Amino acid sequence: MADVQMPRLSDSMETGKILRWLKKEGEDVKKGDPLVEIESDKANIEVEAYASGKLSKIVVAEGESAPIGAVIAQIGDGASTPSTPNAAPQGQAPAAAEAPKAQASAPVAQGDQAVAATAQVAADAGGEQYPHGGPDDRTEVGAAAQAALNVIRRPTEQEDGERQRVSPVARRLAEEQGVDLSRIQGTGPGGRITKEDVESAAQRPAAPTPTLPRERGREIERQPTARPTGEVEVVELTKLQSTVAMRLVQSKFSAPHFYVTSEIAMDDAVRLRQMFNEAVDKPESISINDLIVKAVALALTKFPEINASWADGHIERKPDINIGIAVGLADRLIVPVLRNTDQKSLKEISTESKQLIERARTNKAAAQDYVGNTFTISNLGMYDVDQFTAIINPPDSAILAVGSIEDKAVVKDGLVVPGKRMRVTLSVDHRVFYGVTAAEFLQEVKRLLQSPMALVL
Amino acid sequence: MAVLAMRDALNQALREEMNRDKSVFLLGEDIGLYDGSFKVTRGLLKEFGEKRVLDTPIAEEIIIGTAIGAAMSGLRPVAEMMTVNFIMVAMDQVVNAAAHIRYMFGGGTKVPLVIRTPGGGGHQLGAQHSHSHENWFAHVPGLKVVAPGTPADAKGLLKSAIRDDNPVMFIENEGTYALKGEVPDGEHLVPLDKNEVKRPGEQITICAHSRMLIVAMDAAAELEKEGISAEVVDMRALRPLDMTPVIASVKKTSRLITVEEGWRSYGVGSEIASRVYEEAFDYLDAPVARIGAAEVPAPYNKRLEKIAFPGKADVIVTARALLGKN
Repeated sequence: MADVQMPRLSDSMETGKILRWLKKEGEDVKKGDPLVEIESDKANIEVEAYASGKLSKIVVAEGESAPIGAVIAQIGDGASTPSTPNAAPQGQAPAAAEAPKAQASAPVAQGDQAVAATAQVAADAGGEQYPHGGPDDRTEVGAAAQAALNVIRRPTEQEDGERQRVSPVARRLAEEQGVDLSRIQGTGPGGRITKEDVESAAQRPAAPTPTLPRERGREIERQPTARPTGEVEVVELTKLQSTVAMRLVQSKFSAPHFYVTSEIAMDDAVRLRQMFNEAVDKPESISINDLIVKAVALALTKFPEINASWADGHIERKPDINIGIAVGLADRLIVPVLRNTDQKSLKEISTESKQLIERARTNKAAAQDYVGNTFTISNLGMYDVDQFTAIINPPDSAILAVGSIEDKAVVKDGLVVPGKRMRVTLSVDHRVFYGVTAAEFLQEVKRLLQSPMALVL
Repeated sequence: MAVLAMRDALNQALREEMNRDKSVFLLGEDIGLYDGSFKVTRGLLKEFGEKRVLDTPIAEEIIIGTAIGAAMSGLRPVAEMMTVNFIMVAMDQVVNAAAHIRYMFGGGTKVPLVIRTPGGGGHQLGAQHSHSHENWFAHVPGLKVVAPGTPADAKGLLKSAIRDDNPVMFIENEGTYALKGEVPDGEHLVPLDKNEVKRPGEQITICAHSRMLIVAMDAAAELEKEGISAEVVDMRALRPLDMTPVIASVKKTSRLITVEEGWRSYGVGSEIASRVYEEAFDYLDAPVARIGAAEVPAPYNKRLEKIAFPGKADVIVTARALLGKN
């Protein structure tokens, strides 16, 4: 028993209409005999029998239509009773080898294309059935989308701490809503910060962030946050955090540190800054930190033994004075470096460090922003800190930890008067230089800050 | 409003315009006695006679050249290139003559010409017969290029194209002639320079034209089942390229996929992506994803061909990836 199915007579055909049966039910047919005339969407085509036997049943009568693959007749050996035929489901066309051979064929779409029946697809919101050439039944992604996917899925090439991936809309939103991108972990492909990341960050209370060198009085408010419940929360380090941890251990446990603290009268420096800032536009305004950076750089010109490194049993004195400025962000500590600091004017130092810090904050810094330091300044002045000691930032031989400027009662010419005082602590690698040098250096820094006109010259 | 197959919607447009305007005539290979290779011109020879439905020799350059001359002389020819693959031998006529003549004569003559031609692959017809060239034409000032994806648009755009005083490349697709849809009866005009949202959505924009519009619509329907809301913009107007709905959509969704049946490089998607970078850069949340045919001459091998041309799965997987859901 063989089923005769509605053949696919053109690539765009969906249904065919039986025009004329050329054999009657019960008549013998030989393979190759003309069997039925079918009207496709393009032409009327005579279809041959592809099996021999008795035409035991005509299922689709003349004048009726049937979809491709539907059983239209049965050819039996004459012995068995024809079973009740079921129309083949849509999309199940006769396989190429079994397909009846069309005598005529369209000039472009050859009859036997071995493509399955035209797929019925819901093509618009109205649910209309839209058939089109060939079934779109591939479920795996093809070569057609691979190039696009390669772009979307390209892993982040930069290391942590370098340029952060931020989508344009996320960057714009963050700016509009004042969201600090550096405290967001991107969830997009390759860790890109997406619009959604910024939107959800905007919902959260701002975390205590940048320990930017600013003046005292910064309001810090830490919201109570949910503690881990039950189990200990394990926080994995970013690559940058691991690096920082390793280097700090290396520094603290290989360089024998000693510390020298000095209190500096900052009255004139504060007044100078005030005067300077009154004279310039806001973007050009300078900070106390800029004054300290300048003072340290100038002092270092007189102390080449401090602008040096311990290296495998000898000391290397550096030709350039490059001051690193420690910037603490929510989840990382970075030290952008101001090159040839001693040769820069106060204004240049100010502008450049603003740019460096902003680049660091927004993850736009380049790798070279972080290398080449010969001396580092860590300033917690804006956090109401009396004084602290810092760990030397390799390969430096010293680091200056800067506390807040405080209004104090000070004794001047036998009288108690109000004064502005700031405590700085120098951490020293004892292998590179000694206590007296440290004290002399601090005196020079102090002299420059207490008579600050030299800083603007 | 009747439900018509694409080929019948096109046939209706031709018949209506030929009845409306005696200067409209058809020429092309096998369009008369044989009713057209894809049966778009079925019955028109019988109805309008040999003077208005011309069977031509297999000589594409002559077909286009004749049509240009007729157009310059006051007629409104609709030339059929049996498939877009064959137009390559007539490109000098299309670009140097049809597209440029009006400009070179300082507006002294016009070329109200329509060239209808189907492109598209996926039918195992080999590299030479599987092209999609709409980007070639859309590159050329002086041509208008449209590529409908629904029967209603096919009718409305063809009628507008015939009435336009400039040469219009009317790109059809072999895979959509049987595509059925509701088509407005009688006077139904679709402007040649307006693209439109065919399916509204919120999270991702998919741009597509011609058969890829159907692929995009199918993909959007599947994506909806996964909870991804995709907006589909029909790019039927390729030159002039109407970016208005795309820009508006990208400003809403921030993510864009372009789908075309031709190759990706220098393709329709490349142009759309550039315009989006120019006009909506600050709204993007991810790079624009361009889907197009694999960068190889179309394979004949069925399985290779299947992965070389874009399908629904490509759009779906790309959409998920863009949304970080892969």
